[in-house]
Parts: sequence; structure tokens; C-alpha cells
Amino acid sequence: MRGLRDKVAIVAGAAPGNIGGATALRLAQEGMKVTAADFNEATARAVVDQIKSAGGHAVARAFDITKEASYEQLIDFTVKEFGGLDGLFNVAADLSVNNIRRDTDVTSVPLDVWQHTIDVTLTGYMYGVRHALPLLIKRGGGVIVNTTSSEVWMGEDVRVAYQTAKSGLIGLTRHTATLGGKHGVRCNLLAPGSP
Amino acid sequence: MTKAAYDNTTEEYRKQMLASVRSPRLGAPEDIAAMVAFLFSDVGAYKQNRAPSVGEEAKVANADEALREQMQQEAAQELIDR
Repeated sequence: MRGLRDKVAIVAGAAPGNIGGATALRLAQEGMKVTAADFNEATARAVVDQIKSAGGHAVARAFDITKEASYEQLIDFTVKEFGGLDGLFNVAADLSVNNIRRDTDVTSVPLDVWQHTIDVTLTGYMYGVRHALPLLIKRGGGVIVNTTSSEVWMGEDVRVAYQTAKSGLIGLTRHTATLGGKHGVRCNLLAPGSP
Repeated sequence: MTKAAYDNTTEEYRKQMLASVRSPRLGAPEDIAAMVAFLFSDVGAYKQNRAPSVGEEAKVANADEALREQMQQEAAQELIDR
């Protein structure tokens, strides 16, 4: 696809078989240099192995999206490794059974699940945008894609924390699109259709 | 549908989802990866502040149309460049 070759991308939340993993692979197939990042270093490395065996260019990096310094280090690492940054794909989520199955409804959701989900899915994405946007503006342009969920519009009777955090990304994305737009930075939201 | 989504849904739910989409199958991670590539690329150069719902298969078809359109444009540009 035009305009991707030799550009640099971070996929924040990449594991084999998930959206991040498939996207890291696709972007590398399009000629981008990719940092595949995940909470679990082994899964990020598995994505990189897939990319490399397909002839692509990628590095793995472990990071904790709930820690601002960790996200900042991920971006710094990528800039040092590949000489810049052109695209950030925010797609991390804690879909572990222990978290998502305890994300019940508003009357019963445990506060630790509520807070953790917002930390990962909303505040974590903000850290990425906060530290990538100035670099992209300085570079003369770039792209940020945040991942929401169609659950946000469906209004399901479970996963209240997930839906609420994902809804917040609409505001973050619109704000970022306005802030970066005149500097050539685009920010869009993706809404995959299943929980 | 990702493995995590599969693990967190019932057979009944997946049947309902499949019935609600205009496709013989549910969306896959690769369908969303294609949309990210589109948004990152020059083809998506005027896409700003959008929320494409790629899980709904009709919208994936739209993405495919955009890709086809891009390929046609690139083919046309090649002819102009020649």
C-alpha cells in the first residue's frame, strides 16, 4: 500500500493470533519497520519471529501500558532502533479471564477490575498519544490509530468497565485529531465488532 | 474473531453475530490489520477522526472497495508517469 515502505510503526499490544499480531505482520509485509510491543515479552517475540520468517523487519519489546515511563521508553527505543516514528497503533487490552470475566455490570463490578481496565485501555492509550504526538508533529506528520470496540455502541449488559474505557477513546481520538490535524498528524479510531 | 473473543463468547452468541453480518463468516484479525494498513498509508491520507467499524462485514467490504480504488488510482498514475 502506498506510503508505507520503510516507515516506522509501533504496535502496542501484539501477540500471535490477536489483532495487534496480525497488524504487525501486515504492516511489515507492507514494508514498514515494526516494533511489536506487549506486556509479555515472549508473545511480542513470537510475533517478531513470524515477521522475520516472512522476510519482514521487526523488533520485540516488553512494556507495561499502565506505566507512563514504560510507554515513553517503548517510543524512545523505537526511535533509536529505526531512526524515527511514523505510526502508532494502540490495541492493548487485558482480556485475561481473571479480568474480563470479572468485568460484570455496574452494580457488581469489583473496583480493582474497573480501575485496572481504565488504566490499560484508556489512560495507557493516552500515554502513547502523549509521547508519540510531539514526535510526529516534529517529523511533519504521522498517524495514530486507537482501537475501541463496537460494544461501545451496542450497550451490552456486561463488561461495563471495558465499554466505559473504550468509550473514552472517542474523546481522546477526536481531541488528538484536532490537535494534530493542522500539523499533518491523523488520529483515527477502529471499532472491531466482537468483544 | 480473535481467540480471546472466541473464548469469552458462547456458541449461541457467535451464531447471532454471524446471522447479523452480511458475510458468510465473522471478521478475522487480518481484516482489521488491513484497515490499519489503509489508515497508516497514503490512501487514508484524508481520513481524520473516523471510527470505521470493521467488525461489521459490510464495512470490511467498504475497506476492500477502498483498496480496489487505490489500486486503480495507482494503475492510472503509472500510466500517467510512463
